Amino acid sequence: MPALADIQAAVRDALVRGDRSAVAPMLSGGAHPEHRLAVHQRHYATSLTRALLDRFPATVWLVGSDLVTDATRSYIRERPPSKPCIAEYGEFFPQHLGAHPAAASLPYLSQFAELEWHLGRLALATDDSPNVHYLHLDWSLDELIGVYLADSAPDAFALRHEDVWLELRGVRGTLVMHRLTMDDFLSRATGHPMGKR
Amino acid sequence: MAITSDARLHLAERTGIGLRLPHIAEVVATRPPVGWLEIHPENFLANPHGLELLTDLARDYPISVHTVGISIGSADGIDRTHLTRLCALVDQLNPVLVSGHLAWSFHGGHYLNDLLPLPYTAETLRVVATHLAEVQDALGRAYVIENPSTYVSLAASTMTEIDFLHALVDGTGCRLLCDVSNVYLSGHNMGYDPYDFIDRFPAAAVAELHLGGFTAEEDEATPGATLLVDTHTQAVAEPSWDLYAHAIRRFGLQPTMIEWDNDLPTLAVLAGEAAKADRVRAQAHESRHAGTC
Repeated sequence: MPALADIQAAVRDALVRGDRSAVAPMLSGGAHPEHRLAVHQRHYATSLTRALLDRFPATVWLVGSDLVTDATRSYIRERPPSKPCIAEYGEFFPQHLGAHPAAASLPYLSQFAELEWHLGRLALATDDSPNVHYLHLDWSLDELIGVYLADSAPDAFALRHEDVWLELRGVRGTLVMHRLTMDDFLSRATGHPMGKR
Repeated sequence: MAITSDARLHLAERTGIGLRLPHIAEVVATRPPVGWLEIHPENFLANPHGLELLTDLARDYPISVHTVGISIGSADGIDRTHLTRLCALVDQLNPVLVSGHLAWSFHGGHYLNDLLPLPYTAETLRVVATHLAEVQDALGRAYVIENPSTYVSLAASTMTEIDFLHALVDGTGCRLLCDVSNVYLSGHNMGYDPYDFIDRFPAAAVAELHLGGFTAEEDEATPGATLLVDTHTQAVAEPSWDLYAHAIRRFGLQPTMIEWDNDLPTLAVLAGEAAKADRVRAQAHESRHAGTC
């Protein structure tokens, strides 16, 4: 009889890697009980894909759901969650998305998704929780995400390649992005979370 | 670790609803007429604003904390960091019930975001009992165990689910959450009689009942057959209501909660489901007494 740990390793491999070979002999019920495991496989993939798409709506708005969904599939396979709070899942997705072959012509995409990640976290902050973050960008992505947040549709938008030293603040759904000088950024960011490139 | 009878009787008077984040602002603003609120703590641990609103609601509603991430059946052990965060939230909310699932979700550093089936063996019994003691010691209160929704079983099992539940209660003294819809859909999927399951359920250990909607899908293991999947995407199905009435006749008045997690309806629809549970429960309880007088 396989030990509990062996069964759980086999089920984990089936869910994460799609490899049912080890788990199939461990299942019972009906002619093809391993097919029933598809319920759990689908739930694993669809629930995490949905969680990531919900976490990065501005990124979906910017490049479309096909690219982001494709990147979520490989991310879920390569970086399964390590903790039960799924709202915290996706911290490394911006880098993963930026490395996706379809994003090769979008050098700003990873930074845009990282900016969205931090804004999403700050939108849930209160006065008593961490509610400020400092982020250095290489593009004028604060203006671009501002277009999304304002739900506006300008006729044209020019993305500039420039240093942007950002202070991000959020409390109870209200977000403020404030550009700083580099000196101010470095001074204020001391002791605060900071994304520096 | 006892659950006070006063708290349980209070909860049993009116049905509760699962409080999900898209509804929380409306619940804060309108204070709907439902008996109590059940939350998944994992939705609030990274959401300070949501927790602030929930703490406000806890002044007006009894709160039940229903975990999905404790993974009490993991061979790897309990995620102690998560347990510590759960304890802090429980201390803040002082809920009337804390519960979780007879399942596992975590292995080898990977959290699989699902409630996965356990083999019903002596080893699993030891693992679950050990983790249950660890969780209850950390919480300083009872941790109620819910029967799973089942689609596939493990060949290693040496006992049935109902025998495992009895062994768990006998060995640990734990309380049980009977998810009536899980009983119905698992009976359909695994080929047993859900009424017989309710009749054999450890009645004295029941602390709470759940009702939730499920979805019929094609059974990939048996072409032409249907599989019932515990999606919580729709209203409670009629067969679950009938089984719920049977459960009330068997277990007596019990705190009951409506689960609806995906494709959320309006709050009014959810409150309507809770009101229906109140009516079904009252009728079933009345007939129980009529039958015993």
